[in-house]
Amino acid sequence: MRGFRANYEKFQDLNTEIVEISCDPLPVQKAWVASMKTEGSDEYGQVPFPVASDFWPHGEVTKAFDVFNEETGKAKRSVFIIDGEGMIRWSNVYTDSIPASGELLHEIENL
Amino acid sequence: MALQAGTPAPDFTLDAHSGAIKLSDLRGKTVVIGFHPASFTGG
Repeated sequence: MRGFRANYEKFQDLNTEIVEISCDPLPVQKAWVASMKTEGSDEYGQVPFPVASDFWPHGEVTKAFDVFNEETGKAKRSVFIIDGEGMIRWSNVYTDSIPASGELLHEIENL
Repeated sequence: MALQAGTPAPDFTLDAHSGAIKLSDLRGKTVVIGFHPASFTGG
């Protein structure tokens, strides 16, 4: 997430929008966004892309992408790259942190 | 198994901190969707 924020302009340069999704209720996400601080700035609440709530019906979108963890009731950490036609062009599920933005930017450049 | 490349992305509308977001409204742009287990975790 921090990587996405730090590299947001590079994604924009590639005509790319970012959407973050978790199964948390929206107020939790708003609190999280409000707690974020931009590097080198004292301002809070600076997340330049949508942080979306898939809380109710619980995990509906997460399930549609097949990355819902039935045991925890949460999304699996994962990334999808979708092209301008709405087609998934790349996807990956991660057990630890998501990859550096550079890897994703590279994939997008090669679409 | 996550949806794979070559599959149409399921359209959705969700509430986001910045307002409602609809995937199909972003047609014409590349979209990176990141799913996270919880908001207060890094990555």
